[in-house]
Amino acid sequence: MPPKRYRPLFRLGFTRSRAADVDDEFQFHLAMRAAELERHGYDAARAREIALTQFGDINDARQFCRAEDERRMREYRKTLHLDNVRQDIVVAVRAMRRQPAFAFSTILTLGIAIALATSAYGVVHAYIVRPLPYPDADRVVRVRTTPTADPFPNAPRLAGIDWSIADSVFAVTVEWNLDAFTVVGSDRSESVYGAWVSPGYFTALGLRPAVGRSFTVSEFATDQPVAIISDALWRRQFNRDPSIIGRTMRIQSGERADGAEQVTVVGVMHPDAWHTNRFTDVLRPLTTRLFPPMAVLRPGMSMREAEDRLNAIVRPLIPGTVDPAWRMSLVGVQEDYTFRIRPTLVALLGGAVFLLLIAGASVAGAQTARAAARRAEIQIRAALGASRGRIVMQLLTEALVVAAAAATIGAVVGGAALATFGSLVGRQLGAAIPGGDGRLALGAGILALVVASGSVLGALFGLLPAMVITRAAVKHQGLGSSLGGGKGTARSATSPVLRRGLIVTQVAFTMMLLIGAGLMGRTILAIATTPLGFTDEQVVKGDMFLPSGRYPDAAKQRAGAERVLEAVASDPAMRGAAISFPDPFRTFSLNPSRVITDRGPTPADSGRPAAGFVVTPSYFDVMEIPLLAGRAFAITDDAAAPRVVIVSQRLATALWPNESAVGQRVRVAGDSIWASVVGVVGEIREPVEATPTPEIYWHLPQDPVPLFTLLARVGGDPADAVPLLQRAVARADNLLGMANVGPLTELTDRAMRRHRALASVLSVFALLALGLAMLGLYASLAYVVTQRRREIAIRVAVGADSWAIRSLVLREGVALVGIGLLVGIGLSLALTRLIASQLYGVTPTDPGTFAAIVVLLGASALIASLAPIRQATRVQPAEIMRGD
Amino acid sequence: MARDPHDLLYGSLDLLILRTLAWEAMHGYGISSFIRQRTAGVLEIVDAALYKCLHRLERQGFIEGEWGITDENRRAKFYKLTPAGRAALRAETNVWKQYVDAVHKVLEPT
Repeated sequence: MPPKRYRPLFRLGFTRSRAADVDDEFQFHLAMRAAELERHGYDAARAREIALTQFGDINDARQFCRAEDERRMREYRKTLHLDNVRQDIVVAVRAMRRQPAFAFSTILTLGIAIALATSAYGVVHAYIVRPLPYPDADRVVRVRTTPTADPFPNAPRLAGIDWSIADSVFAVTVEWNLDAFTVVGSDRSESVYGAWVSPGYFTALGLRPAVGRSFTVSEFATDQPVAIISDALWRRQFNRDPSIIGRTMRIQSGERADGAEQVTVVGVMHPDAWHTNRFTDVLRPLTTRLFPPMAVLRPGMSMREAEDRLNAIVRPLIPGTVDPAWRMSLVGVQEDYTFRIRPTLVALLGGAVFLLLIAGASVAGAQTARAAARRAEIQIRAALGASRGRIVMQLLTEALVVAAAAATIGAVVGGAALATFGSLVGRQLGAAIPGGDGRLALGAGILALVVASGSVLGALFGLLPAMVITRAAVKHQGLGSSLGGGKGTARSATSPVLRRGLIVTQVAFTMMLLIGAGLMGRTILAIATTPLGFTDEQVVKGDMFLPSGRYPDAAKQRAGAERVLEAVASDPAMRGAAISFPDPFRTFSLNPSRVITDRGPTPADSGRPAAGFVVTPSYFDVMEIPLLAGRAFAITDDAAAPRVVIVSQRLATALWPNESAVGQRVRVAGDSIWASVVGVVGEIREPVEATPTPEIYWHLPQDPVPLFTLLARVGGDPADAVPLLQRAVARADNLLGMANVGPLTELTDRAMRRHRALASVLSVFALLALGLAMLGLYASLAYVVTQRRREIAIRVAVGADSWAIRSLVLREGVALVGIGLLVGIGLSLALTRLIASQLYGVTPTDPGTFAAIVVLLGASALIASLAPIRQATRVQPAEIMRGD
Repeated sequence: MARDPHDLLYGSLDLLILRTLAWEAMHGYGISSFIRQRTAGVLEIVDAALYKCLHRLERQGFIEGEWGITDENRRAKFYKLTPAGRAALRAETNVWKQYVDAVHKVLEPT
């Protein structure tokens, strides 16, 4: 049976006193019955007695009836409450439909802000909040050989230590030896990244083959020609042929001379298998114990405790004296993986949150400005007996309906954006999304949370104006003036403090976003305009390595590099070819070398840090790095000749400030052979995040490396030259392959990709914020003009000129924006430090950027004030006076 | 739902009240007198049970109470049937008739 609906007015009269009602009802009955009995001849006392007896158990009945009435009223109040909510929602929807543009713009504003915040949180969630996709992810740690992430000058050599000692500290150790393999294909060979891995690689990281099997115990015990390949390689080279298991493939290890050429594929990894590094295409079993880069803590043992125990065990095993400041350190695997991108993520999320607050303030401001229009409606409701709480509930419901709509739209759009553009994120940030691109999508739980918190936010922004409106409306209810249409009581409709506070908040937050965007813009500009020191255009590059099976020693590697260079040079399309390790952008970042001169070192001076490069003589020509003094490397500087180096200008002036660098002698810490400086070359731009280091170049024939980048200058588009370069390498040795082949400008782009991404995101946020703040200021000033029409009219009537009127409005605008700017500057000074590590060529408190943003905001504010000012000067005194 | 032990028969007092109120709105005393007269005293209703039944029916939404003034100018609570009560009366009457028929068939020798 559905609950019955009551007419409220009737109810209001009836609910007065239920307990008394039951008594009254019974008394009436008894009186009537007694009167009837008296008519039948009983005396009054006897009649009353009989009536009472006939009635039965009156106390029980009274109790029962009262309980029933109470229960009825409880149920009634519940339905009344539900009715109110339903009614409020109906009224809210009706109000939105009455002013669709207002509702639309409110929902759109909040919706966009929530969508951006959802996406930003989604990215942060994927990297920082959600654990890495490893079992016991909270116990997986990276083992560092230095106390900090920065290079440690006097780190001892840890070679020769039997790392099985780590078993006494950790539950599982994960060891790997990174390697590059040439996969010899039917038509072309391919260089792929891989590793020799310990059993812990599979158990601790939860990685296992999807097809085939893992390595057996005996395969980890003695070298056997077996390999597990990645799903990606399986697809590229074998077209996902399931018969690959048990078949042999021809691969060559870059690291190991004894690496077998014919190996049996025993397994293919799962497509979702994810590791913090990219060396996953070919896995081979590691049969020796190595330093463990990763380990799993024992349950219950803290990271600090494990670190202390590790140091206590390792330190005595190191021969010679050890710098007392040195120690090995442990860091959570997730922290280690994300520490470089953390500032970007914080800036991203912070920007989104501030934009959300600005959007909220903007909506609250708009609601407040509507106060004048709503006041009449609310006063009527108050006059009809609605309590202030009831009216606030109504306004709050309106805000909730709008916010819920916006939050739903925002969550859907934000979730869709993540799903669509997810794969871009990893590339832009320079660190793959943990667990793969597919893991970026937000779960239903988080989306529900977004909708819920968005609604709460909307309610808060709806509540402020609601309180203010009702206070004003109820207070002035008796005057009746407002029902006539907004005349009189001009200053009372909304709290000026609230309205102004909202504007100041918007301006201040907008200022912060603009400053952030400005600083990142300056960073991009600084990176883009800092001379590379070499010419990256018209150069094609490819990473190569010489498999140690066929290039086991320095002589073979030297010959191999020469043969490759000759083959490339023989192609008429190539204008020059060179080899360097690492590439000029230091994609494989190495710890800086410490350069020592024959004047030192003093005990305190452990050498000057410099980035070491191994290059061939033509390198400076191909890269167009100017030779400033001395000479370039020559063919005669071969393995038999005395060792030579070339230093960059900055290293030269740092080491020999008052004399020529050419002819000086240097060596690198940890190396006893001295080398003479034969030349000085121009500086090249260091990686954006590296500590600034000058460069030192070694000659490849004297220090052959099996792993290097091949660089060739071409006449036309370097992209067209890719196949030419690949063919040339195949001519030199048809078992050699290359990885990451393409124009060198790819690396130029990559060097600033993360900064550009952050700059673009912050710019979008800042522009949206600026738009909202300007709209807010405009609305606020226009409202002031409307409210002060009478005052303006009187001033005009008594002879104020138009400039006085203009300044009246302008003063309000200038005051609001001025305070907003001051607060904004303060907040910016406090918060830009968070992105300091992402800045390049500009300080977090760069006065130029601050000044420019103040000017930009001031100018925008002026533009926003123009329309209200014009409106004020057009006030016609006669009309206004008559209107009253 | 807790039934009053003084009920004549399960549900029959409900039915009597609803039927009585189908003619016109009445106060509790009126209902009590009416039923007694209609049944020529065969059904003697305990007043306490009647009122408990009235308040329960009101809570269930079948009847609606309203304070009014009697012909003798006294303040009394008048009950009237709600649309839900009218529907319930129809349904309950049918059930009751079927019940009576069934009992009749058992008692009457064929």
